[in-house]
Amino acid sequence: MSQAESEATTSTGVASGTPDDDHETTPGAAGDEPAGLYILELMAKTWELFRAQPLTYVAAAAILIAGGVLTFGILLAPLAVGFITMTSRHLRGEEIEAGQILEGMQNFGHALVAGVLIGAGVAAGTVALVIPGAVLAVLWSFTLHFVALEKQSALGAMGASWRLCRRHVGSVLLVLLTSVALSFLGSLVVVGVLISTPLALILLTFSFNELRH
Amino acid sequence: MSSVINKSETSEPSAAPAEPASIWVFTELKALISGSQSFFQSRLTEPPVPRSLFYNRVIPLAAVRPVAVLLRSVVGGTPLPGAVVGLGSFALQIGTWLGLALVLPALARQFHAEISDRQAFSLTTYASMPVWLAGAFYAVPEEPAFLFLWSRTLVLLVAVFSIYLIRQGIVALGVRRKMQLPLLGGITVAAVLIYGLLFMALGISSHVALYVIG
Repeated sequence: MSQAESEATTSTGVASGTPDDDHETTPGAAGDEPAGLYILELMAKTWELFRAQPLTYVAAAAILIAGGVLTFGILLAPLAVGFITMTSRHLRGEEIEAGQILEGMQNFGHALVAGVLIGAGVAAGTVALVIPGAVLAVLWSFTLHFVALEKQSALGAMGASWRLCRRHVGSVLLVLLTSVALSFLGSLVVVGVLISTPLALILLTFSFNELRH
Repeated sequence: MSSVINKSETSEPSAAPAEPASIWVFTELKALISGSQSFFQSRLTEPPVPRSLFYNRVIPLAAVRPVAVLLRSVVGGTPLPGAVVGLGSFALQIGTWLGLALVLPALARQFHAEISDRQAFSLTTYASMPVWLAGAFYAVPEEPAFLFLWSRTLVLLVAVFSIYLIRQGIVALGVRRKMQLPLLGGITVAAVLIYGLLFMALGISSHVALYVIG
């Protein structure tokens, strides 16, 4: 530990660590969330990936948004699954095309059921004093990733997302807040949502990979 | 939510739960205002169990604003909307407290600092206490306008003071000086985002509830 870092240690036992520090320095910190995500790193990677094929991602986002709106949300979850699959391919170094988002239809049933169940649960929880809806939204936030990348059924994916997010509540909440902030910034400009939406989805996919693996 | 609060308690079997001293809230508030850094030094070294904070501090103090809103509505002759909005504002405050406490350790990690779950719940609770108490100003009616503006300005000033308290807590936790301001900025943005999202959700659910109740 450098002198600056050791000076930062107080009687509370808290030391300012580096991202590589996995040790727990505070009494009672055992059992807290395992080493989590570093948002700035993830955002840098997100931007790099987006920059590699920006038009593809913008076109895919346009298909996602248009498909969701025109079908009153029926195609939103399947197309999102397709987007996640496409992003995952790009992460593996493969070339992608916007049309690949339609491959989400291969998981149409599971994606739709998951989307409906999540939507109903979050809506019911929101009406019941908001907090249960927010909790469900956070704990089910990676459901579509499990459907897309691990080919799980709707209920299996919801359960898997619940277990994953419960273990990393703070990190997941931070990623979701970052995605919301991105989306908000994108909505300030007329077509900004076509950039902020793929960025948010890529960020979520990166986060899923980090937490899962 | 209770399982999240329980997780912070059951995951630390070796630490004896440090219950807050059984002193009146206002005495604690006085200590918080007059010597915030030493207050946080003592509270964050052995932070109380989150469940104890929730029942002894969060619930009673977060209830001040809903009661004020309800009082104003009853006096104004609109008790039902007042009850719905009051209940909603209670949920809003609890949700903001919970969300901020949960995200704080992950946020601190971004700035190379380590805050445990218990410390996060303690810091969020004690920094929020003045704002919760300032909820009493919500009893001020909307007319005359200057009185309404004055009361809301006071609430805003107290909210700024709460940000200052968070800063004191960050210093007490030993966060590196270079990282204190960025971390404080991150916490403020996170709190505003959480509050804003819950506020929007509350607006929707209040409308639905009032529509159903009729």
